[in-house]
Amino acid sequence: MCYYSFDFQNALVPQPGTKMISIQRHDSSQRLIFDRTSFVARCIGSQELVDRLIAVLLETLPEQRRSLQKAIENQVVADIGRISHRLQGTAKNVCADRLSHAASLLELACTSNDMASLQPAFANLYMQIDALIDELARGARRI
Amino acid sequence: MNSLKKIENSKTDGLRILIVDDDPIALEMLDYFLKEAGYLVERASNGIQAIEKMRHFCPRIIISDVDMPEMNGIELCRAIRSRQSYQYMYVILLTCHSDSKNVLLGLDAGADDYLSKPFHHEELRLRLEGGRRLLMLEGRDMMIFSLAKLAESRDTDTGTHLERIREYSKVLSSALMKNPKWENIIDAQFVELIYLTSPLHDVGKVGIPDNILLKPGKLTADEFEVMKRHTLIGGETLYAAAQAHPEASFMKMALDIALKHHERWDGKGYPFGLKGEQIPLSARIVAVADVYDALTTKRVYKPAFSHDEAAAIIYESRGTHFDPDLIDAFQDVEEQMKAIRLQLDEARNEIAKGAPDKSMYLNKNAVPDSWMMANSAQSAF
Repeated sequence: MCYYSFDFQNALVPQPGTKMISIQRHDSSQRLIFDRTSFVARCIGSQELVDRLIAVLLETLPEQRRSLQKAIENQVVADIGRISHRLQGTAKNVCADRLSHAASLLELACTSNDMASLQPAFANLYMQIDALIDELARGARRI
Repeated sequence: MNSLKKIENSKTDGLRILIVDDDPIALEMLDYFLKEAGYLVERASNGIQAIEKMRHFCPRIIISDVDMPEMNGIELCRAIRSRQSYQYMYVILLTCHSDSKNVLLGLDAGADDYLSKPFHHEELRLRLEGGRRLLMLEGRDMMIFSLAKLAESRDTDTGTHLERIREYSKVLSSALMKNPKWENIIDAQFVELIYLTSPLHDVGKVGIPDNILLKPGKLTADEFEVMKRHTLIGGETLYAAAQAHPEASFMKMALDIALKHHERWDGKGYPFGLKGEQIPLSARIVAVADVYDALTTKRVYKPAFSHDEAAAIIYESRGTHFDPDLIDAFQDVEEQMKAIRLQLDEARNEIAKGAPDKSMYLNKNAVPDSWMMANSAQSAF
């Protein structure tokens, strides 16, 4: 396993000269939490597939969030990077644009060893996971 | 409801696909699309699990993510290519759009194709079509050789006759390609096709009765007439297949070879007594390969001639039995022909040494190509 060498305690405090990744806690962009139209198109109009994917999402997103939380607590950047990469793939597949963007920022923070951005990127991603779960629970199943 | 089901169900024939990804959503989507298209699907969430599943599921196609825990897609590719497998596994890697480095690493590790994530179901279908086409080609080649082997199995101790024939045919046609007269007629595809189809030259022997095919001695004139029918039997069989599949160009060459490889340049061959360039080039090439092999192979009624003795007989037949251009080509590749013979003999001996039952490879009581010797007596060979 690859560990990045850095000080996690200090990493959460911005260091002078550190390049910061801009995290939008309140996404004012055109990105949707869940682009239902595109998602249904990706499912080639199949209600069965829509239902299956949403069921899998509702089951696995909380697990992935826990894994990510654990990786943060254990301070293993390689794991954080891998989980955020997987979440990005998941999000792209289901057209969850904000989650995809948030995951990409966390992955970028890991790959560029930008420790100052790690915590806010994680917080943003955490928030987007919650937002997607809420959105799906509110009835995104309808085609 | 969707184009996949409509287009693919009849084509996939239950082809087995193993999908490997640590993203459950990607697995679910792939599983759905592939099953809808008629494929048999198994899932794994990393490379280690994939290798374990491969043992029992025997997939023909593997679709794998690159970034995975335990063993990633590139390592999985390397592991697949290092395995001794009796059939080819087609590997498609799933990569991110921007991940050109991993695409190159994956292709270098033995992946056949890649698909960008998030994949589009139509692109998935088309990539799989490409994979299926490649696997079908492998199946076609194996089927042709199996059919030829089946026909040869009745004809006993010819050993690696079919392997030698296709190698000789390939070497001779490659040499002919260097002759300016033939360079625009013979191309790499011709060489590939003759390699593929020449083993079918004696496929018609399946229709010859045992008492003639396996007779341990010279054939009578009547028996020889029956034996000559193997060209027509093979020709008729392959003609029917060629008619049913006109798109299969290799069938035409297989038909030409099976039907006409006993024709002679001077018109004294059979079954039609064709002369000179009336005989298809492929059949003229296989004629040289077949006779060289018969001469250098031991039979119960004759020893194996040395290469030099066999070559001398072939040179004497320039312009009578054989196309003069082909004898020139033979002259150019004599050493290669000799090396092929030695190489395949060695390989055969190695197999025989390790084989529990040598009779699988050597049937001492059987007499292959007895008709050939009868033919020799009657027509210079």
